[in-house]
Amino acid sequence: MNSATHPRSLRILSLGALLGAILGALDATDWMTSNQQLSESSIAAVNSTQIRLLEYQRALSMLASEKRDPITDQDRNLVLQRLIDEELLIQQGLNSGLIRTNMAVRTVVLQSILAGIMAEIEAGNSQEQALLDYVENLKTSANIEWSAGWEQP
Amino acid sequence: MSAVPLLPQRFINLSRGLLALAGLTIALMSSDLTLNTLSTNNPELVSVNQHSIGLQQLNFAAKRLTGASADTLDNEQKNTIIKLLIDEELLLQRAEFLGIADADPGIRKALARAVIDNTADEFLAQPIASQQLKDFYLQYQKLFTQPMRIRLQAYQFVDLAKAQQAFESDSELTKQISMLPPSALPEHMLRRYLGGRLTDIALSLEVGETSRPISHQDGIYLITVVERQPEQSLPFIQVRPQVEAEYQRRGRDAALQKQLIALRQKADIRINQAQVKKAANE
Repeated sequence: MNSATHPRSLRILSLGALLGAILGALDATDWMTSNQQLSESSIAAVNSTQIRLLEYQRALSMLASEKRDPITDQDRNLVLQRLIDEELLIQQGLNSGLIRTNMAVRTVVLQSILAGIMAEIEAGNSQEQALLDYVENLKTSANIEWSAGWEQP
Repeated sequence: MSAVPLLPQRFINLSRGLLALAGLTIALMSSDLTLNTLSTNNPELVSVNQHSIGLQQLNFAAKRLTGASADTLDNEQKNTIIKLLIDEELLLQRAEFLGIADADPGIRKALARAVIDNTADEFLAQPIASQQLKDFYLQYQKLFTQPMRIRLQAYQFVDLAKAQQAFESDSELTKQISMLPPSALPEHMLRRYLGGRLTDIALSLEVGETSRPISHQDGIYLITVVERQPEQSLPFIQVRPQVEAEYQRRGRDAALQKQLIALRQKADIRINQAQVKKAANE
């Protein structure tokens, strides 16, 4: 019994490993994502982020308002390439952790999230208390570990 | 007889062990897990959902809030700052979870700006050798050349008869007050003061020559060329600050271009050609 099931389980294991390797290779070479169709509301995609058609049209009309001559194909391409460059820079900023390490970015992010929270709790009487409650609520679901050598409060 | 099947079993076990190790390594490499406690430069004080808050962050925050290093604070003050950093970290994680960082135009602008500034700072941190500047000066010498300058006197009259009278009599002409500054001006400045047509006429005159009365939309003009200073190359020693500024400006731009090329090479960029064509036809 054991000798009969052993080769079968090995075969299943090998098949699973092979399937995993194929899927991994396809994903690593972007074969799966690069064949995905872009939606009609997107002009381009940079990695997994889509650049909206509306944004492209807005940038084009801004250029048109500054230019005396009509917009050319070269202008259109330049606008699109600048939007792609901007998206690349933003992704680089996010990936390199600038949200935490760059004071200007950190401040803007905190201001934005706080503005969102304040809008949510605007109806309440004490906004400060509501904000403290919000942060306390985040703490209850967070995993906070103090270093062993630190005298914690 | 019993020793023969032991060898393949050992081999299978070893292979399984290696496969498991490889799987664990791949899983660790793809996860965000960082072994912060091993960092000696920034020892971890507290971790919030595996994001480390270290001594460096405490020092930065202490300087930001109190103007002094964390070393000068007592434990209670330090813990107050760490609690604030924990709150901030929780809010940052919430922002990441909600995708605010990627969607808010203000944050997107700040992120792009920060990456550009970091790239520029990295370039500017490199020391510039004097020879590099000299080579740059020689390569772009045209940029450090003083353009041709011309000193003019331009007189405005309300009627043609008075202008004709001044043109015919030197004593009448010297009584007039020129509408231009007394110093020699480059061509682009002349165009700003006089406009295109009068500048073109001025440039066609010889030194000491006075134009015939020129009828213009806001009056009648007489123009005299007093002096013409030819274009001249400025020596390196005289323009060194400008050379350095231009070198840094071009270097920053080149560093950013290099960064963008590298990012493009790593990225998966797809363009919706159908929408590009549609936009071109609109």
